[in-house]
Amino acid sequence: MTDLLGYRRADGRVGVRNHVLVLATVTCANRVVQRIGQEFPDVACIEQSAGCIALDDDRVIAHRIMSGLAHNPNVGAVCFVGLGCEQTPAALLRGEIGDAKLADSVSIQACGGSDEAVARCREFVLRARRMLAAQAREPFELSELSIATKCGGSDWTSAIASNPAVGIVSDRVVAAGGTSLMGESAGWFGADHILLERARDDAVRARILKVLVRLYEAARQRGTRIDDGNPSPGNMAGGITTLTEKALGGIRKSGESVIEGMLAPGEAPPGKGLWLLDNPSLDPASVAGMAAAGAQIVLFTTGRGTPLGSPICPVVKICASAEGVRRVPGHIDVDITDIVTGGASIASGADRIDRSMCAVANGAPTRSEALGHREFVMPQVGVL
Amino acid sequence: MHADRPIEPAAASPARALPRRAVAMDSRDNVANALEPLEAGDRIDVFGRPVAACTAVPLGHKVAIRNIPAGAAVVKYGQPIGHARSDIEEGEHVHAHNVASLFTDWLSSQTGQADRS
Repeated sequence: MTDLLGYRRADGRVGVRNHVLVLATVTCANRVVQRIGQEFPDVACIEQSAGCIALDDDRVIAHRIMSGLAHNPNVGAVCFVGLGCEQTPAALLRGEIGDAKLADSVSIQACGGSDEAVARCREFVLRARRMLAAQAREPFELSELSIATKCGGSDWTSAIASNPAVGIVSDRVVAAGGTSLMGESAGWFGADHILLERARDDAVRARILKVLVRLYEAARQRGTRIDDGNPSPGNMAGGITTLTEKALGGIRKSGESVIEGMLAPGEAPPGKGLWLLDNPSLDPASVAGMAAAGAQIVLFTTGRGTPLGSPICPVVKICASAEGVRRVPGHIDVDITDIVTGGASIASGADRIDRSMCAVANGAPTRSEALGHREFVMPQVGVL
Repeated sequence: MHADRPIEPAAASPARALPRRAVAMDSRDNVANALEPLEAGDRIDVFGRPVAACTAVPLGHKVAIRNIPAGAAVVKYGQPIGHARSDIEEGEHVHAHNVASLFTDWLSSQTGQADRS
């Protein structure tokens, strides 16, 4: 494996990107954040679709996610922008950062309006850029890497080629002392017995079951079923018939490592190894949860092809479907179609993913970064 | 059963006389994934056993490699992924039109599991 070079943070963790993040804490602050994004296209900007009033479970998740995104080591400096009367105030989030990185908070009501808030943010961005530009990459170990594995726009090739190949990479990262996260809890139904068998102990098993029972019951209380609408029409056109089939293929991206624990949305893993994350299947919400849990890189398999990116994490798109690569060639980082068409081994696919992952960790832009894809959706209780 | 889609003899299409490629994931499976689109009459070899497609099967979709009676489990990765809504013939396309999902009693099966742990 290539030497890894990243940005060492005050807390000892390492970023593979050196983002300035400007984060709205409520919808009312979105326009200010948009204006900063237009003025500084290199700045990672996140807008919100809520933040004013939410029931307590959603409020707790949103708080953890916003805090987690700001703490992600790929973020070198962060400015929180609020209106001043939101549920999770910008100043509170800024306080939680402490001295970990350059941080500020702006309240539109306190500073006199949108124009004034934009001026404050602009000043912060210019200062943060100068400071981060002076920072050089330093060597770091694979054990300091935290990856997340995700599949989206899955088809029949995801299960037989790209997910198992990513699973090998995940196992290698875990074996080297690193961290791997797998989310999409609603996508585990039908493969849950395998995850339960791989759990570290009964306490972990009980937490996995609790998450699944909550999702199942929530669907039932709404008069529907957990497999209603899942697999998606695209999954089905790609040969996936049932949620069970999709789940059995989907969990292969987590490899065969022991599952150390089950994390709540936005919760950071308390140790190394493989962790499950209770977060949505909806791609941008899922990746947001992974970034908030500290993932530096997302390994994302697709069969149908998807352009998705993230404001925080490079998303490496891996495709084993010749049809998918043909459909959206400009969105695929690692083409492993020869596993399906030409008899290449799954391990050779894993080697190519490894190489791409290391190059991306060292600064090579992913396709989604080059195209400016930075989708974000806040994970919430009702978002599957 | 498939009067509307007659079985095309393999010999009728000399270019397709060679077996098509398909893959099954586990020796217990009763379905395989077609690695090439199949037409009725195409032959696949799965676990050294020839199976003749009796319907068209799109690329990557599942084809039955055994007869699957109505109500029986459709098995892939050695695991049930659904059950047959109707009798499925060896060689037939297997998808949402003839497979139902398994989630009618997930919670009761899990409650048993939770009690055991």
